[in-house]
Amino acid sequence: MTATEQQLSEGADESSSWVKQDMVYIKTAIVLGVFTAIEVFTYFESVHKAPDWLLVITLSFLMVIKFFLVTAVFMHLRDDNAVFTKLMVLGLCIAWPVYFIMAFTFGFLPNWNPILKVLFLLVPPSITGSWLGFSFKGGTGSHH
Amino acid sequence: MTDTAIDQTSNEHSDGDHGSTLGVSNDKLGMWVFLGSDCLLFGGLISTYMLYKDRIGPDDLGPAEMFDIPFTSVSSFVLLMSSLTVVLAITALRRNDIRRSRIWLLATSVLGAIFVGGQVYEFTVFYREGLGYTTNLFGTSFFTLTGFHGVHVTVGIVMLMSLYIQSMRGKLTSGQSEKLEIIGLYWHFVDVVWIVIFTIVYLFPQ
Amino acid sequence: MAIVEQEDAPLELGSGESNQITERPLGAFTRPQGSGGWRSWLFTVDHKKIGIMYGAAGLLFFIIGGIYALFVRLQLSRPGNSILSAETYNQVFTMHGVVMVFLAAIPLGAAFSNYLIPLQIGARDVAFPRLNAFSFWVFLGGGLFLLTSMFIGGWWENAPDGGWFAYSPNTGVLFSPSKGIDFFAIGLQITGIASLVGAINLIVTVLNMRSPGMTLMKMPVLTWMLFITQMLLLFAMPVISVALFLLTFDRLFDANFFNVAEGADPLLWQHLFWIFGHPEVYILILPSFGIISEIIPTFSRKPIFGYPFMVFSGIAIGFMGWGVWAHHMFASGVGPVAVAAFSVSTMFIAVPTGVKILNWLATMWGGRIRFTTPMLYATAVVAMFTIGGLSGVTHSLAAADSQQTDTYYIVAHFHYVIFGGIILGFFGGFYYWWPKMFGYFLSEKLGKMSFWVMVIGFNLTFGPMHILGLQGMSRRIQTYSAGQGFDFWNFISTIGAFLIAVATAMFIVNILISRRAYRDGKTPDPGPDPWDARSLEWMTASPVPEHNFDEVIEVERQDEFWHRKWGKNESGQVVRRATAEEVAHDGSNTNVHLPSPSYWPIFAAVGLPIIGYGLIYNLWLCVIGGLFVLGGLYGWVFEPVDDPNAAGHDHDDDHEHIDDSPENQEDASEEVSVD
Repeated sequence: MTATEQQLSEGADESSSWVKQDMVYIKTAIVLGVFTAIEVFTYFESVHKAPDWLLVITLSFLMVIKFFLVTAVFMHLRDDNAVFTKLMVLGLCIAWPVYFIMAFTFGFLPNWNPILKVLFLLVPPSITGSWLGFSFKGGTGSHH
Repeated sequence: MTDTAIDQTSNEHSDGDHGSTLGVSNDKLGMWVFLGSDCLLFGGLISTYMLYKDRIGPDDLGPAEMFDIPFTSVSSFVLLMSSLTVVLAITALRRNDIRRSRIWLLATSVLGAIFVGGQVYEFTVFYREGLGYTTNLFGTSFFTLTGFHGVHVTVGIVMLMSLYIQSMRGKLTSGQSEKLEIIGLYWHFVDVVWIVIFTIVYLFPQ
Repeated sequence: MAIVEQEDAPLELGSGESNQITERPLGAFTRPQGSGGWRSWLFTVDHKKIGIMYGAAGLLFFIIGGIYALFVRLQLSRPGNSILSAETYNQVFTMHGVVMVFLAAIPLGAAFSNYLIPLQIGARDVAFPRLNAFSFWVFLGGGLFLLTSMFIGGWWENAPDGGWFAYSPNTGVLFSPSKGIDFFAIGLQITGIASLVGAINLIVTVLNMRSPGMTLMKMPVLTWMLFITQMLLLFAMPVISVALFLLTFDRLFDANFFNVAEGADPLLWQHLFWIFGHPEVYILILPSFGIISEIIPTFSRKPIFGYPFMVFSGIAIGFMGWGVWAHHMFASGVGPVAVAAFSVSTMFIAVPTGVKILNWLATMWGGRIRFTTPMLYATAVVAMFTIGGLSGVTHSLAAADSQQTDTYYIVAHFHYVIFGGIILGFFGGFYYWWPKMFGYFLSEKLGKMSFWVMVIGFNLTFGPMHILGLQGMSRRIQTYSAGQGFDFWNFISTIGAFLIAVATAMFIVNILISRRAYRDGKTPDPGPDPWDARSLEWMTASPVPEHNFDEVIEVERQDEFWHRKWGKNESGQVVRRATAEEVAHDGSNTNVHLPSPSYWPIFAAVGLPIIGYGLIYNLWLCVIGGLFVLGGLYGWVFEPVDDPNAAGHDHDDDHEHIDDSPENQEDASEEVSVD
C-alpha cells in the first residue's frame, strides 16, 4: 500500500479535501470563463463603440487577471516552491521590457515630447498608446 | 565524512530528489526553467505580429476583415477548459483514482484536438477567402504566430496521449503523478500564451 | 547525489504490482554495456567526458575558424590581392565569424561548464545526464552541418556569405541566392537547441544539486559566472530562434518578414539579432571571467577580493546586458531617443565590468604571486580585456560610433574582447585544469613560450586594426587599393595572425609532448591539488574518477577545500593544517552509483541535421530525420532507467522518462500534501 492509499483509507476527511481541491479548480475555471465572456462581449456592436483606449485597458486588465489565475491556481505557483515563481517572473521581466522597447523604437508611440516617451517606458504600451488617442497600430512605417 | 552526512543524503533520497537543494524535483524545475525561456519565444513572435499586422495595402485582407470572433471565442473557451480537465486528471491520479484520471486525460486531449482542429478550420477559411501565408505581412505574421502556438498544443496532445497509453497499460499510477503534473504545467503555459494571443491579436480594437 | 550506494527500497506498489523493471519491450531498449573504447565516449552520459568532448570539438572548430582567418589575413596582406575572389571572401569571413562565435567560443564555455559545475558544487553529475549527452551531440551535428556548406554543391559555393550577423534584406533570396544563408539559419537553429537544452540542464544542476551547506553565496565565482551564462543562454536563445525562424520561412516558404516590397522592416532582424547578440557577448565573456577568478586567487595565495561584489557585478552584467543591444544599431536610424537611451545604458554597463577588473587587481595586490602559465594567461586577460573594454566605451558615444561603425576599429575592439578576453582566458583554463582533467601537467616551458608568442601575435594582429579603422578602412572589404595608407598595418596584422597560428600549434604540440611524457612516466604526478587551489574540484583524485567524490562533502565556508588545508594558529598566522592528499578523496569508493550510458541521445540528435538537409534539398529527408528524432525520444522515454546489470540503484532521472522507480512513487505520495 502506498502512503496515498493509506491516507485515503483513513476516512472521509481526506476525500472531502480532494473534493475541496477540485472545487477550487472548478470555481477558478468558472471565473476564467466569465472573464472570457466579458472579453468577448466587448466585441459586440454597442460595446465596441466605446473608445479604443477604454477597450484596450479593460481587455488588458482582464487578460492579466486570467494570466495570474491560471499561473497561480492551475500551475499552483500560489503554494509551490518560490523558485518556480521567480523563474517565470524572470522570463516575463526580461521579455516584456525588451520587446516593448523594441516596439517603441519602431514608433509604436506617437511622436510626442521625448520626455513623455521616456515616461511611457514605465507603463504598458497598450495603456499609453490609447491614452493619447493613438490606436494600437503597428509602427509608423506602414506602406501604401 | 561523518555518518550524519550519509544519513542526510539518504534522507534526501527518500523524496526522490537527488540531494535536491531546494526540495523540489529536477524534472519539475527543468520544466519551469524551460517555460521561463519560452516567454521570450512567444514574446518575439507576438511583437513581430504587432509590428506587421497593419502593414498592408488599403485593399488587402487585414485582421479586421478576417477574424471571426465568435468562432475563435468558442475555441479559446475550449482550450481554457482543457486547463481545468488536466488539473482534474492530476488530482484524480494523485488519489490513485486511475479511472477518472484516464477520463480527464482523454478529455484534455480531445479538447486540445478540438482547438487545433478549430485552428486548422480557421486557416482553411482564411486561405479560401484569399489570405495565404505569402499574401501580405499580416498573413505571414499571423499564420506564423498562431502556427507556432498550434504546434505547441499539438506537442502537448502527443505527450498527453503517450501518458494515456501508459495509463491504459497500467503504468501510470499515483506514483507517476509528477509526470502528469509536469506535462500539465506545459499545457497550462500553452493555455496562458493563448490567453495573451486571444486578447492582443483577436480582441484588441483593430 | 548518489554518493553512497542506496539499499534497495521496498519494491512494492500500492496497486500490488512489482515496480522492478521486469519488462524489456524490445532488445533495443537496453542500456549500452561496457565502458571501454569508442563506445564509452559515444554513449556516455558522464558530464566529465561530455565536457572533454565539448572542449575537443571547440578546439577543433577554433582551429578551423583560425584557418579561415588566416586566409582572410592573407588576402588582405597587400593591396589588390586576389587570393580569394570577392564571393569566396564573403563566405570565408562569414564562416570565420560564425564558427568562432557559435562553434568555438560557446562550446569551449560549455566544456568548462559541463566539466566544472558539478565538481565545484560537489555533485555527482548534472541533473539530466542523458539530456547533457543529447545537447553535445546536437551541437556537434549542427556544427558539422554548418561546415558541410563549404563543399556541398561545389567548393565554396554554398557557404553563408552574409556576415555573422546576417543583416536582412541582404540575406534574402534576392541578394544571397546560394544555399549559404539556409545553412546558416538552420545550422544555428540546431546549435541553439543544444545551447538551450544545456542551459536548462545546468541551471537545474546549480539550483538543485549543490552539496549540503553549499549556499549560493558560497559557490565559487566560476560556478556563479557559468550559472549567469546559462541564464543568459536560456533567455537569449529563444530570441535568436525567432529571428532564424523568420529568416528560414522567408527563404524557404516565401514569407514576407524581411520583404521590403511588402512593407517589411529590415530593422526587425537587427533588433531580434542584437537582443540575442548582446547577451551573447556576455555569454562568451563570463566563463572567461569566472576562469580567471579561480586562477588569480590561487596563484596570488589570497581569497578573491570582494567576493559579493564579484558575484553581484556578474549578475548586474547579466541584467544590464539586456538593455544595451541597440548600440550595435546607432547607424541604422533607430531614432534619437533610442540612441540617447542606449548610449547611456552602454556607458553604465562598463561599471560592473570595471568592478571586476578592480577586484582582480586587488586580489593580486600584496599577494605572493606565482607566474605559472595559467596565471600569465589570467593577467593577460585582465590587461587585454581592459583595452578592449575601453575601446568599447568609445562606442557608447553615439557620435563617435557613427564614424567607427563598420570600420576596422570595431573589428579591433571586439577581437580585443573576444580573443584577448575570452580565448586567452580559455587557454589559461586549459593549463590550469589540465592536470585535474587528465592527470598530467602541460609543459610549463612550452606553455610560457606559446603564451608570449600568442600575446605578441595577438597584439600585432589586432592593435594595428585600431589605426586602420580610424583611418577609414571598412570591414568586410575583399581588398583595397594601394596608396591609402592601409598597406603597412595590414601587412603587420597578417604577420601577427600567423604568430597566433604558431602559438596555437605550440599548444597542440605541448599536449602531444606532455601526453607522451606522461605515458612514458616522465612527468611528475600532479596529485589531487597541484596548485594549492581553493575549490572543491581539487578535493578529488586527478584525473577525476568517474564518480567524482567518494563521499558527500559538507560545505561550511566559501573556499571550503582551502580552509580544510589551511587554518590560523593562536597568533593569527596562516598555517597548514593538512596536506591536500589527506583532505582530498582518493577515488577508491567503488560503491557510488553511476548513471548508465545510453544509445538514445546520439540517436535522436542525428535526426536534426538530417531534417536540416531535408529543409534545404528534399523534404523527404525531413521525414527520415523526424523519425530519428521521434524514435530517439521514444526510445529514451521507454528505456529502462537503469542497466539491470549495473550495481546499485538508479539515480539517472532524465526528463520525461516513464519508469516505475520507487523514489518517484514516494515522491508523489509526499507531494500530495503540497496542494
